[in-house]
Formats: sequence, structure tokens, C-alpha cells
Amino acid sequence: MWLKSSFGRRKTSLEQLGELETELMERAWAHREVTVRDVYNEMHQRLAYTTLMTTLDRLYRKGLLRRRREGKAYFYSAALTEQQYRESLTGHFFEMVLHDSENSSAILSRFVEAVSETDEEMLEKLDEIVKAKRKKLSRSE
Amino acid sequence: MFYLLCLCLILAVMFIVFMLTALTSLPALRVLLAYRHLVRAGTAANFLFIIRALPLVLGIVASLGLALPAFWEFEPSATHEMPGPVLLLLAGLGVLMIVGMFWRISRSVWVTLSLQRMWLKNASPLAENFKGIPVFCVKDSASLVAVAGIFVPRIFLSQDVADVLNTEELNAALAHELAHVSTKDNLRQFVLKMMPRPQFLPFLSDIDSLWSSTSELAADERAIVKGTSPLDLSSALIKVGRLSFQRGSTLLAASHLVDGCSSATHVRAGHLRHLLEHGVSPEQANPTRRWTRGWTACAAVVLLLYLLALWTLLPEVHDALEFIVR
Ligand SMILES: [Zn+2]
Repeated sequence: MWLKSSFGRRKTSLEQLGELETELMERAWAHREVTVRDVYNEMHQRLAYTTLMTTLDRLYRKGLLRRRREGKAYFYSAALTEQQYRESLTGHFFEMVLHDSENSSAILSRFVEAVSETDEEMLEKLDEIVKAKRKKLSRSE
Repeated sequence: MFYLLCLCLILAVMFIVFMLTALTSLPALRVLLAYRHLVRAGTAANFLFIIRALPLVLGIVASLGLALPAFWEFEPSATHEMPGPVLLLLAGLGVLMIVGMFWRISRSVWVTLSLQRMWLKNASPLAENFKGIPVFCVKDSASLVAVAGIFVPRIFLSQDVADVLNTEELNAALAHELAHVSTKDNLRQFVLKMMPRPQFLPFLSDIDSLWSSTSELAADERAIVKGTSPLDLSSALIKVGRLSFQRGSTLLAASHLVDGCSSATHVRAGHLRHLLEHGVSPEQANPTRRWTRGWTACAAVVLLLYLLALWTLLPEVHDALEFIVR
């Protein structure tokens, strides 16, 4: 459910983020919410205000940050946890997103698709039979 | 004007034939749905696919194989006939249909290529191909065994799967994937993804997922017929299924994306259980070769009939086209 709610229409970008983007994501995880001004105060020796503004905006457009407006300022917060983010970089997360009925458009033949609890129960039952059969086989050998 | 009229006619004929075939194939699909248990999984998958793809095939044949030559042959090239409003409307609907197909399929191809690119970035090829198909071991991916590629298949295998399966189980999983390759399931998926699935006909989505689970069953059967032990295949399914379950599929199941008892894993586990409990093995014949031979013969006969009948049919087709134009 979180998969749908947190991603809604925008999809997480696949490409690896640049150094600055990663740094900003780290800030978003460390603080619950950040504004351009907050980040600028910490990073102004290295980076221009507009650079930070566009990078945060880009992260928002990639679906990695959420934002709300208060007065003139945008408050940015992370749209996914650090672990989810790491997984998205290594592909696992994207694979999961792919299972979303709307996104499962990849042309692939998978050995196993997403497994539900009912499937898992069925697999348990199969496992009992497999174990029994193997035991029988090893006894007869 | 000649070319505009020709284009409009082709589009209109494509649309009409597609829609008529799609509508008439609905009852056939319902019958197949009800009686699918009476035939082998492979046969059911073949029939489902054929009936589902028939509107597209007949649409193309009727428009490019009949309407186009008839128009070309009998319409004077100096024609000043304007496409009428009905023809324009039908042609417009034809364009919309084709654009829709193109959009769906390009999205699918894009997603597939991105996935492959991403896997290849983190992958190393195994030293040995599996029966001629290259196998890539993907680091940092989870519970993945899949074959990608329509004409150039590649098998992708995640490290966690390679770690958890023993050699026999791994071979069984790969044999299942190989079965998908030999029945060209990715090509069939390509065609099915192109076909429209209007919201008001949820039945069609059910049919497509049924095709998908039936083709999974067929791949299991084919792997077993080719000498894979049902025990090894079952163990592989259990292990990879559990990995997939642990690595986040629970979330997906909770979001109702996986339909309980009709999911491919559920059906396959039930089928393998049945095979193991009753000690039966799937039909020993080589179904795919028989099918391929049957279909090649059928295609040859149809092509021959088409060529023989073309010249006698064309005037009739042209008369019918006149009817659409007016
Ligand atoms: Zn499969």
C-alpha cells in the first residue's frame, strides 16, 4: 500500500544520483524536513542558493522528496527511507515497483513472480511433500 | 487524393475487422476459460494467445492483404473522390487504436530495456551458457530468475538465488526458463501487451493473467518432459518463492496486486503437488514441435489459398470498399 501511496503518479528515478543529490538526500533523512534556506546556511561556502533550489526541485520531480508549501518556502522531506533508497539504486526497489499492476509492463518471463501469503502457504504444503518424497527416496537407495 | 483515400480505407478496414474479431472472440474466450482444465496447459496457453491475438492478425491481413491490393488494382489513380465523414471517423478511430498500441508497446519495451541495462550493469556472465543461452549473475538484485529478450534471450539470475539453490535446482529453474524461450513466450507477451484492455472489459485482463499462469504451468510441464525432476523443480520453486516472499513481496500482496489463488505461483505449486502425490508425469510427446509443425502447415495452406483466391476476391473486396467510402 505504501508503494502506491508514496509514489502515486511520480516514479522514482532509476539513474544513480549525483554527489550533491545524495548529500541533500542524506540531509533530508537526518532532519525531518529541510528548506532551501536551511541547506544553504550549511553549504553556502560551496554552493549557490539557486543550485540548491534546483537540485531539491529535481529530487522532488524524481519522486525522492516530498514537499509542502508554507508561505513562500517549500519544506522538503524524504519520500522514502534510506534503505529503500539504497535498494532503488541497486535495482531491487525498481523491480518491486515493476510489480505494480500499472507498471508491470516489462516483457520478461520470471521464474517466480511476487509471492503472496496464500502462495507461501501453498509452497509450505508443497515443501512437505517434497521432503517426504526425498526421505522415501533416500530410504529406498 | 488517391493516397489519402487509400490510407483512410486501410485504417478504417483495420479498425472494423479488429473490432468485429475482438467482439466475436469474447464468447470463444469465455468457453476456453470454462473448459481450460480439459486440455493440457500448453494447449490452453496456445489457444488463449491465438484468440487474443486474432483481431490484430486479421486486422492486418484484411487491411494490408486485401483492402490495399484491391484499392490499388481497381481504383483509378486520378480519383477525385473525397473520404466521406463516416470513412474519416473510422480512419480516425483506426489511428487512435494504432497509436494506443504503439504507446503501450513502447512503454513495455522501454521498461524492459531499462531493467536489462540495469541488471547488466551489475552483472557478470557465467562462464558456461545454458543450452546456448547466456546466463548473467546479477549482484544486488533479489530473488531474480528471469529470461529477457524477444529474439536474443538472456537469462538473469540474482546472487541470492545462485547461493540458495543447489546445482540440480538451479538447472531445473533454468530449464523452466528455457521452456519459455522455446515457446517464444516473450514474443507472445509482446503481442499481448500491445492489445487493448479497455477498463470496461476487466475480463480481458483476467484472460491475460490466465495466459500468463497457464504458460508458467506449460513451462513447468515442458521442463519435466525434457527430463527435469519434478522434485528439483518443486524445491527450486519453494526456495525462490520464499526468497521473493521475504524480500518484500508481502507488501505487494498486501496491496492486492497479487490475486490469491489464481497467481502463477499458487497454480504451479498445486500442479507440482499433484504430480508428486500421484506420481504422474506430463504427456511425453513433444508438444511444441508438434504445434510448430501444425502451425507451419496451417500457415502454408492459408497463404496458398490467399494467393489463389486473391485475384478472384479483389473485385468483391473493392465493391465492399466502395460501400465504406460512400
Ligand atoms: Zn516462468
